[in-house]
Amino acid sequence: MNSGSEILFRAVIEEAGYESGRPIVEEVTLSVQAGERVGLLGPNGAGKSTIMKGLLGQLPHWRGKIYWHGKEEENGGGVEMSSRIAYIPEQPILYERMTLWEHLVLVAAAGSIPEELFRERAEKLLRRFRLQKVKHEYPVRFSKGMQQKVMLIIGFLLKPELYLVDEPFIGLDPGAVLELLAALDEERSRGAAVLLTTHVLDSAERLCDRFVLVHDGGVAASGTLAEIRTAAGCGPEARLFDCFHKLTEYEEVQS
Amino acid sequence: MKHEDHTDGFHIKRFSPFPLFLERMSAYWVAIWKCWRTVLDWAVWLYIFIPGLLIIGGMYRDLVRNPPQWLHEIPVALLLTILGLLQLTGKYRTFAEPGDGLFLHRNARWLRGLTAAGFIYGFITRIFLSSLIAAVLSPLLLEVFEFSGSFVIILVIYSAIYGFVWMLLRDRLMQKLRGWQLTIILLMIRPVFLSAFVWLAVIGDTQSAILVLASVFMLTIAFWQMMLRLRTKGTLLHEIAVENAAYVASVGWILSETMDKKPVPKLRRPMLFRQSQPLLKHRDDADRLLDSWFKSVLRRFDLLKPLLYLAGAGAAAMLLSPLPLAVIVWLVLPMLLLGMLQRQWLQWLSEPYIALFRWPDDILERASAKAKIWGAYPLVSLWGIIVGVKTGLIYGSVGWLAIVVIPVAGYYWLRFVNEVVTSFSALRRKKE
Repeated sequence: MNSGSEILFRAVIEEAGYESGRPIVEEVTLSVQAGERVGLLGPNGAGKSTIMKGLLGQLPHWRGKIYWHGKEEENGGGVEMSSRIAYIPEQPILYERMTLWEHLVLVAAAGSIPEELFRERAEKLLRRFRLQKVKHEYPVRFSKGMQQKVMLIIGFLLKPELYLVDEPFIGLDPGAVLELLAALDEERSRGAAVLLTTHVLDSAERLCDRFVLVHDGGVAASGTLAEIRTAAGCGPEARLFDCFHKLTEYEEVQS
Repeated sequence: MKHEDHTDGFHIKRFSPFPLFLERMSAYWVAIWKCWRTVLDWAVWLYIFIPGLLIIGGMYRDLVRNPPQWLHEIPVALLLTILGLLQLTGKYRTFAEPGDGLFLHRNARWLRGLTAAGFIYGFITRIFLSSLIAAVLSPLLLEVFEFSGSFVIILVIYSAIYGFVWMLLRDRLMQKLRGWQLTIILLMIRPVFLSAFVWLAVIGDTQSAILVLASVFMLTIAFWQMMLRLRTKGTLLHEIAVENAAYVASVGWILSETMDKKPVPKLRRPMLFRQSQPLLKHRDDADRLLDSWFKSVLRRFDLLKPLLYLAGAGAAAMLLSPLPLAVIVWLVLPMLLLGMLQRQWLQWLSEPYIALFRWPDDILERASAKAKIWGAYPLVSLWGIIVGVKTGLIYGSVGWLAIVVIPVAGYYWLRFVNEVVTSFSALRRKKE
């Protein structure tokens, strides 16, 4: 799928970490094509969140390059939320003294969304994630699941070229997961790409076109499910879970 | 069943609620002291506190040695009201921590122990506070108001018990009520409590037995409240909220710029702009950003408070100064005000949610200029009106025009000062 599409986003991470001289992630290259969904998978502590933070410029130590449509970014380390990119974090990031609607107004300002279009998009998303009744309340007082929905709405409101989604399924009820998947499908038809990290391998297998398996701060395998199966030495019916287990088990034996 | 001896030096009986309470209490006060030490360096002690103490102490000594006539005319009730007001400040503390929900609050012995330790701590703090105030005021009370020494001692005990009962009662109300209900009930009860305190204390001046009887009565209520508190279950969340509020009240303003986790609003919806309606017309993205900023300031008292203090101090300075000096103060204060707003604006931009987005430079520049000028203008106008009134009072007729002219001139003065300050800041950033 999308084999003919241009590469929308490419990150070449030489090293990234929290302390100088102690990289957590080394030599990782990620690329996402327009309309493609790439799953960044790995066990706890493999370096997935570090990669995400590195892409967002939130790490104190980062060496690498970022390319958009094949052109290198000038500031190198880190991309921020804009009309081009939306980040949906695992831990909701909210402002204490703004209502849900005011959070969305700020997104509209950051993405330069015209007022009418913003209202239309915002109301639609609030209905979709069933938050229209609480739009004038403080989201910091919401439950974790509701806060996660707020972050999804913020991301979808921007209608960016690329979504960076960190553990999207945590805290969401089944209805919200279905709405999330439907919204991601709509975005794919628009040509938007998704780079997501998750532990939920079954969902990742259904959702993603390609996978990057991260283990011990490096890439253990990458490619389509068929390519991952080959790399793991698994049969054609093997689930992503089995391949993942085999690849990380192999790495552990090696180490 | 035979208990095996512990051979690893771990004696379970050493671990009981009271030592834990003491440990937490001392850790809390050490943490508070460490925070205060960051702002109270030697220069503050040397140039502000020690001279201040010497000056105020000297003035107080003169007041007691040579009491002016007006001091004798001060009603005793006023002095006792101050003592009573201070007794209404305490909160019942247990130094609870969120982790207590896992273990300690499931064990009745620990729960009772920590609650009882809270009673002792509360009573000791009340005694300490009452004694401290009585000690400071004793020269006045004994020399000027001619109270007897025994009355002062009874007054200290009476105040401490009264304050302790208030502490327990307030804690109970805070557990039972929320939001407006709590505010209204506390607003109604406080004056009643204070009036009763002052009334009994005034009578006690001539009839000490009344004060002793009142103390015994309040002590009975205190015991009743303590029994109720010991039987109450499910108080952990309330206790944690009290601890968080106490910490924020003690050091919140020192740490306001470094606190990762800000206090969550008590209400689900804001009191101001309840329908998220804009304060400003959203002509462009800079206005949207600016609108969010203004609403944040109006809803966050920690941001609004320093501006209100400066407004009050500035107004007082202009009222008390002669006209030429008031004009100079009016010209200088906007610089201070703009600096304050600039710091608040930059801090707000670095809030995690706001910093999540890429803000184009032109939007930031326009919003920043408007945030400072529009934020400062109401205060500059207020000060300008004060200067205008002073001018009118001195020069009459045409002089009254100053009430309009000075606030208008204030707008242009603000813009000029802002441009100068912004240029200097840009130059400094460039050098760095």
